[in-house]
Amino acid sequence: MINADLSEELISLEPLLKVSGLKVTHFGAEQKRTIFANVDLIVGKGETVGIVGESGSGKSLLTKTIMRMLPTYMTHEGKIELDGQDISSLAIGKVHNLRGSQMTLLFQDPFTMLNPVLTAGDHILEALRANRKFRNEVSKKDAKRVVLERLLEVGIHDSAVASRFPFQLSGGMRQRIALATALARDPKLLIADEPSTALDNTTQAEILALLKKVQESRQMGLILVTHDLRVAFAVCDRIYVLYAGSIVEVGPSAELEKAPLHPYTHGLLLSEPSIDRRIEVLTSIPGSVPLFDNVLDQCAFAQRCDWQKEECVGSTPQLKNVGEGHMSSCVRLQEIKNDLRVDKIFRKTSDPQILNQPNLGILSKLMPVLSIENVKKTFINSQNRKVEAIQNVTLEIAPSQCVALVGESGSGKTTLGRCVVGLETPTSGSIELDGLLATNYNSINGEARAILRKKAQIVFQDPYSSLDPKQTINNCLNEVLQVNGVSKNLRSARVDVLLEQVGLPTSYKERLPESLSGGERQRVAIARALAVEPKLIVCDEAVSALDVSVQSQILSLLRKIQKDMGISLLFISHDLAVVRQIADKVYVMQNGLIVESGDVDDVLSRPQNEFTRKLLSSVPSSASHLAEKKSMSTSQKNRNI
Amino acid sequence: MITLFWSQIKKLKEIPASVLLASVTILLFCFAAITAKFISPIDPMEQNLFAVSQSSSDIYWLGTDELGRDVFSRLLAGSRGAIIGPFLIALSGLIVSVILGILAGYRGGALDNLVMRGVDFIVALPGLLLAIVVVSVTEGGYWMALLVLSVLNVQGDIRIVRGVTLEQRKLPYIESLRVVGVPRRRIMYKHIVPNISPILIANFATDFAGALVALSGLAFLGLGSQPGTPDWGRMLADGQASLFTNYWAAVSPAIAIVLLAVSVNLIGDWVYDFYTKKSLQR
Repeated sequence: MINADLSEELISLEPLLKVSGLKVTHFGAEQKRTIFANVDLIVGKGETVGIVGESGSGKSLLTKTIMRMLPTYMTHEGKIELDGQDISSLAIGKVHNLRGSQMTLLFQDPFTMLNPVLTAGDHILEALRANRKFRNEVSKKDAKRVVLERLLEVGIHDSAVASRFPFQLSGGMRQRIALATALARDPKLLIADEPSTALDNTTQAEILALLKKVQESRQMGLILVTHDLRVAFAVCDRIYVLYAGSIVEVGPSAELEKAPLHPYTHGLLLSEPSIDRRIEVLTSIPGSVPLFDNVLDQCAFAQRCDWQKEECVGSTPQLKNVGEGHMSSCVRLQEIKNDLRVDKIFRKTSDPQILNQPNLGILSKLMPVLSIENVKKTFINSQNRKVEAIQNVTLEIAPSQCVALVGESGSGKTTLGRCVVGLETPTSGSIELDGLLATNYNSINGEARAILRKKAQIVFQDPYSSLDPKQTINNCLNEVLQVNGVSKNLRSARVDVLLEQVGLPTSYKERLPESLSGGERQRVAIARALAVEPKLIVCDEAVSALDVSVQSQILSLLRKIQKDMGISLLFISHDLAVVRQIADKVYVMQNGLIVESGDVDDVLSRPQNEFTRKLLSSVPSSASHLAEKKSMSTSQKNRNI
Repeated sequence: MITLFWSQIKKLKEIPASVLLASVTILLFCFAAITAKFISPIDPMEQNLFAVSQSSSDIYWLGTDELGRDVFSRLLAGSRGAIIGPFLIALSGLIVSVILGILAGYRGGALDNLVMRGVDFIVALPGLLLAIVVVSVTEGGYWMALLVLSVLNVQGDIRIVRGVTLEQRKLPYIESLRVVGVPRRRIMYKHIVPNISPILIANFATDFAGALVALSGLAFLGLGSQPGTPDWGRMLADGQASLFTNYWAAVSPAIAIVLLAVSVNLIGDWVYDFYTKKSLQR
């Protein structure tokens, strides 16, 4: 724990929220578990603070603790001071009066956050009317006017939106309504818990810009909770890095970005895929986030740290001042300080233009593994209307090539991937897999289908539902081998090989999916795909649900599979930075049409299409990156003229 | 060996008291059902016209009914029919719904339509009324009542199983299995069944309790079991005659019905919670 004076030093502003020595304990059915402890946090008036951490770091529960919204089976200790008032031991009825008027919380999921039977305007009105003064003094007509004003503040100029229901609004619109609702009683502190994660890239950028604008114009305190460092850098003044229930580093975001002073922040920064260049060897942090109780009396990060020594595991490291407003808990900081500089590491990688330039000349001469020609897919929706998910797509993948399909949600990219593996049947057009017609899996006989199934496999986004929860890893892989005719005595050895190929120890064989982390499950899903020995693997947002450090592990694995085993990848993603790291060729999809395609460097560095440019510009980046990008886009414009 | 025993004891501690109590109750009823012939103090059919509608005494623990039959012995003898009947009804529901419900949910299309229209047809029938008419017209007795209730019961099970199958079908793990080429039948019975088993168990328990009440209801109306046979529902009806002299004759079968139905439901609920809680842990 840091003492109060030290935390005061962090900011020059008058503090709005001061959290000290906060600890949360979970009382489970079997044992009690600490979620996080010794958390000190300070937010100044009019300051934007980021809390960054991977899943399992306790960041969401931290915000809930501040809001005093912990579930009954969790308790908190420590002090929470809001504007000078200690609210940590306040009766819940009194806290209720503070919620909305003093502090408020904005959630992640815009689809479940709003009440489906209330209109957008009703939501805001409901929040406004929580204020007795407003109830008594403002007439119905005036209230309507106030609602429209509030909508204007969150960038909604169309007054008709007020009378629409949530299901009639897009995700970004709903998030705006939720924000207007949260702001209705003019709180001093807004806590936004992953407000942009569930949204498309372009919408994400809009919402983040809106949050920043509102925060600045209202001069309110903003806590932005996110797993995405890029988002935090783009919006926040200062950032707290949370790892396995402890704060490991605090500092101004500009400093943190250039010179992180904790190996974990360093690792996070490096695992963050870069949109501007491809990095030859993706850095990733081995392993996954531990539980707080498993790393007591040692540095929580020690197990995964490259610089780990005996002194790291002796005692719990404390946050120490390491610069102006900058604190780190690394005990070996003085020795390894120079190794942590990020700019140095970036310089080490060779020129991205030469590196990894796929030899497309040779590849394109070979027979394509997948060729999609004029594919259309029309769905009939619940109102019996035709929806054209894919309007007309032609696409080709050469052997051992990775082709990325990018676009926003609803662009039809997932549907196309599902058509390739036979989970959907295209309305018209043709799909050829390794020379075999694969347009309609249902129209061919079982034998032919079995052959076709060996050509293409799919890996899904959500690692938690991708595996049968009742089946051990061994049974899962064995079953695939069995249905593909591998004889019984060979199977066990083959399972070992498969696990090794995806980087899992063979001791995992008897485990159930529930005892694996997200990244490990995704590895099993990849192993299952590999068991068929396919020519092509469709990765449907396969790394999108993973934490950054794990994401780069899986990306490296996919690269290895592509290079060493010669398997082609159809990489479906909304994340252009990830695409930059893995793809040879990119197809950009919008509303069921391919709007641009080409070599990854051409498309991402010199986009020709308006939509591609919009996608690229909405990737969140910090101020320094923004400046670069601006100069880039102006030069782009000049060239176009 | 000792450690294994100890771990079993430890596990028992985690089971809530209500569930333990319910299990003991069911075990006792089962024990009574099996051994009624040997442990009942007096023959349940024996009429003692010198001791009609007596209240409880040393000889007749729960007194006698209006024909002088021992209520306690009849209660023990009746537990057999009260367990076997509902068990068979719930079991038939389970088997039919696992076969038809999963098939309809997973395959969809014409088969789904056919099964669901059949279900709709059963739903449209006025349940108990139909049972009363069919059982009384055919004079089929206990087994006819079981058959009719089984048919009526199965529609709910099929709907539930079809619903959860549709849910599972959409999950990536099932889609992955399809892409990998695992045969349909294997996906349905090796993957979907284990994953919906908590629902099947909970469903079985609800069915059992419902069937017990329905069977007793029919017997109360004089349908199902033959007059004179020791049946809880029939005892409830007959006991009314001696309500003012020996209220136990009517109250004790009523308590038995409620106790058994509640116990089975408690266990079903607990099993469901136990498994879903486990599978929700990420």
